[in-house]
Order: sequence, then C-alpha cells, then structure tokens
Amino acid sequence: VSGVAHILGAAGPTLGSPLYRVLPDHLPGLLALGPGLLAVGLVRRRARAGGRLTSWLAGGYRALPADRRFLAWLLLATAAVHLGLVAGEPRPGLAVLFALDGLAFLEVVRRLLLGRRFRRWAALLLVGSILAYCIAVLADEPPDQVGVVTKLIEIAALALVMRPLRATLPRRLLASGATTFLVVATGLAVWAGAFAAASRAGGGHHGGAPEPGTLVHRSDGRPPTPAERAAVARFWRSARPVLARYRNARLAGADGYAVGGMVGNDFHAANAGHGSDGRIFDPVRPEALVYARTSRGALLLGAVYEMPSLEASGPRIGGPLTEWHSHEQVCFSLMPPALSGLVSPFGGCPVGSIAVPGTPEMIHLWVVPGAPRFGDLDDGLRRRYISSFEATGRV
Amino acid sequence: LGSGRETIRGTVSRERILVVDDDAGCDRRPTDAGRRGARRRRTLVWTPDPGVVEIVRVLLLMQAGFALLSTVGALAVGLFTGTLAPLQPTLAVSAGAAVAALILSARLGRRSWRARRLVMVGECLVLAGALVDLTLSLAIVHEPLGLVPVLTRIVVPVAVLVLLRRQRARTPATSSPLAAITAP
Repeated sequence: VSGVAHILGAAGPTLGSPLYRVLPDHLPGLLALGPGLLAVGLVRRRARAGGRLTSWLAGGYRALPADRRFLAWLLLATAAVHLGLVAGEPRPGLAVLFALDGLAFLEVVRRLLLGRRFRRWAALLLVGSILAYCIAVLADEPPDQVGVVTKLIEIAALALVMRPLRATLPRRLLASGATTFLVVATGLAVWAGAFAAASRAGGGHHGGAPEPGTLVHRSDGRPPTPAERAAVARFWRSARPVLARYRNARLAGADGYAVGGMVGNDFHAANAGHGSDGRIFDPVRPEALVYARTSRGALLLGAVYEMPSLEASGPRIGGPLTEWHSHEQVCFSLMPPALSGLVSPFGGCPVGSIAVPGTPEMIHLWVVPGAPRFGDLDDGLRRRYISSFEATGRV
Repeated sequence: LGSGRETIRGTVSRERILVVDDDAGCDRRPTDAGRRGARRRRTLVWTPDPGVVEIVRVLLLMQAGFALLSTVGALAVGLFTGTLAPLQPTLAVSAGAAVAALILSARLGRRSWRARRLVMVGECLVLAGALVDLTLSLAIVHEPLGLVPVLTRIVVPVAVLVLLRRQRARTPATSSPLAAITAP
C-alpha cells in the first residue's frame, strides 16, 4: 500500500491504475531527458572548442556505425532517467542505487564512444536493471509509464548489445528469440505487478488502488449512515421482483436484453432501450443483466446500472455502500464485437481491436447469496454459486 | 563482393551488369544483361546501411513482442471469462501479426526488398490504428494517448519508416557505377 500512497494524493476525483499514468515521484526521471540532451549539446560544443576528452567522445561517436550510435543514445536516455529518479525517490537507499545505475550507464557510453570493451558491462547492467525492475514491481512498486518506457529502452539497448558479432543462423535466431521473449516476459511481469499492487491496496473494482482498467472514486473512508443503509434496502426491495423475473433469460430477452450468444461466467446482456430511456439508477430498469452460462443454462448473477454519459456521476444513495466505477483502457475486438482484454503495459490491444479509453460510470447489484448488494463479486463466491447451481439446479 | 555497405569491389567490366531481382532483394545475379539489354527489366539495387537494418530489426522484434503480449492478454481474458470462442479470430490475427513481424525481421536481415516494402506497409497500418485510438481518446476522454502508447505505436513505427525510407533502392542507372555495374 505504501507504494501507491502517493498516487492517492494525486489530483482529480477518480483513481486509476498507475500502469497507465506517470507516478509523481517518477516525473523527475522523465524530465531529466531534457537536461540529458543539454549535456550532449554541451559536450559537442566543447568538442568544437577543442576540449580533449570531448573531442575524443565526439570523434568516437562519429566513427560508430548507425546501430552503435543508436545504442549510445539509448544508454544515455536510461542513464538520464535513472539520475533524474534520484530527485523524486524518497527512499535514500534506492536513490543511491539509481544514482549508481545512472553513472554506470554513463561509463558504458564513455567506453563505447572511446572504442573500449563495453559489451559485457552493458549487458550486465541492462539485464540487472530489467530484472531488478521486474522484481520490484512484483514485490511492492506499482509499475507506471516512466518505468515501462525505461525498460523498453533498455530492452532495445540489450538487443543491440547482444547482437552476435559472428552472425551464424543459430546465433541470430537465439538473439531474436531472446529479444522477443524479454519483451513478453517484462510485459507480463509489469502486468502482474499492476494487479498485485491493486490487490495489496484492497483489490477489485473498489480497492484503494484499482486494478488496471478500472477507475474508482476516492473513498472518504467513513462508514454508511443508517439513512444510507435504509436507502440501499429500499432499492433492493424494488429491484428484487424484477430480478427474480429475469432469472429466466428468455423473459429477459423478451424485455429487450441481448441474451443471445451467451458465453462465459460474466456475460453482460445489455438493454439498449434502457440505456437511452433517460431514467437513471431505476431499480426496475437495469441497463444490463449479468449471467453465467452453466451446464444447466443461464444463471443470473446480478444487474448493472449505468450512467448515460461519461460526464455524469452516479447517485450515491447508499454513500460508501454504493460506490460507482467506470472502465478505462479496455480493448474491444471488432471481429466479432467482443471484449478482448485491457490495453497492455506496452500500450497496445490485440490486432483488430480498438482501445476504448473510458466508459460511463456503472454499478453492479448482485443477487448471489453472501455477496455484498453493491460492489465487487468475489471470484471464489461466483465459482461456488455456479458449481452449486450446476450440481443442484437451484439458486 | 564486400560485406560492409555492400560495396562491390572488383574489376569493372562493361560486359556485365549487376541485376538485383525485385523479389529477392540482394540476390545478386550477374548476367549478360549488358549485352542483351538490362533496360528491359526494372531492376533495383538495395544497398542498406547494415547498422540501420539492425536497428529496424530490433524494433521489429520488439513490435512482435508487443503483439504477442496483447495476444496473451486477450487469451487470459478469454479463459478467465469463458469467452474464448468469440475471441478466436482476434487471437489468430494478433498472433499472426507477431509471427509476421518475426519473419519480416529475419528477411530484412537478409536485405530482402520485398520485406522492406511489407514492413513499411505494416508500420503504416500500426500508425493508422494509433490514429483511430488517438481520435477515440480525444473524443471520449479529451486526453491524448499516454507516454507508452506514443512511444510504441507512433514513435517506433515512424522511426522504422524513416529509417527504411532513407535506405532507398536505386536503379542501376542512378546508383554509383561501382554499385551498379560490375563483375569481378
């Protein structure tokens, strides 16, 4: 939780996963790219003025082939980011490590430009830096955009460093496979780290730091008042008869819910008519129903109430008992139309999908026994409910 | 034949012209076209900077990794929610794109002219997709794309396009005499 505490203090009414954002204490790392470029300009200027070391560096750079020049820039970029991170890092031990890492990368660049042996040092540093980041995000550091960009730079640099000097076919295949594997493995670690950070902070749609793809309102941490509890109870009393009717998916279909092609254990059957009827949070007119497809047919899990536009906030009739959420960075496949995941840590959706940057606010009402009326449905509870229904045929 | 910038060394002979087949990239086949009239065939000579090709290759390998990661993500969602069936076309296309990027990266390493062309088409498609997502983002949440998507979906494809465009092919008439006409 401590790792995401600074995100919670960020501006704005909603909280999202840091995976799609820049953490405030990582911002200096990004900004350090500017002074890094200035430093390169100064070296060039001093080289023109006849400075001895700078002339060697500039001459060495000019003598390099294109891929080595690109490598020098990549190493300089990661050095600048690491040195910049020192300014924003509140933990002194980590700040020292960032500083040492940045300086070590600068030394590798110096060796590269002066024509000295650099590959082994560069490979060690780059592998160490990538590995350390993966361990950190899995342990306690929530991944953010600055971290991901830096790792991409380092993976590209490592691929150039590890290019086989004697390019036999097996070596080339090995190097190519290793590069692609490293990209995928780093991405998976970052993804897992983002979910782990959300889990440590409460998890689900309504934790202290939400899962990737979910936006929540900041919690004020107060308990619900008796009036708010009564409002939730009234809402449930109104909605229960309607939801009892929709246990039969055919009746739901007759009322306009898109129950055809039901798959999976979290199928959302939307009702286009209710989405545009101008009625907000009407207990008897939910915008969608949630079903699980089981061996005994459709099993109603709950309902979804959705706001008509992105700008509108849902009515919190139950205070902390009715926390609305929305979704961001969701991938939507066009062939055929279906949810195809979340925008990956590297910013992409599966080919043939579009990235939906945001949705209107929504809230779930669950009919599963033991589940909170509004909020998150625990996956274990969902599985047990489905298994029980499949075994007995009763809800 | 030299290895560096594909500079061709040897005794220049007016009798033989180096012809580079359009499909085979640098599959150089010395012919007697000088006598028979090489002008009848549209021939191209691609003499890329090996360093630039290496940069493009690495960027393509990374793009293959991006596509694979997205495929794994979609697969996980499909398995988790039990919606694998409708996702199968998406999974197939996404995995196919990753494999295509890997193959093109290998072909580019062998200086294939056709691979260069296909890579450029692919990068244009990536940019078009990024443009769609940027438009959606601006329209829906009034924000531009994030730092990582800008890097992976705009900067990388543009870099590949720029690097490959600079490595143009030349017809024998416009290329240097040593690169175009030779025969050891």
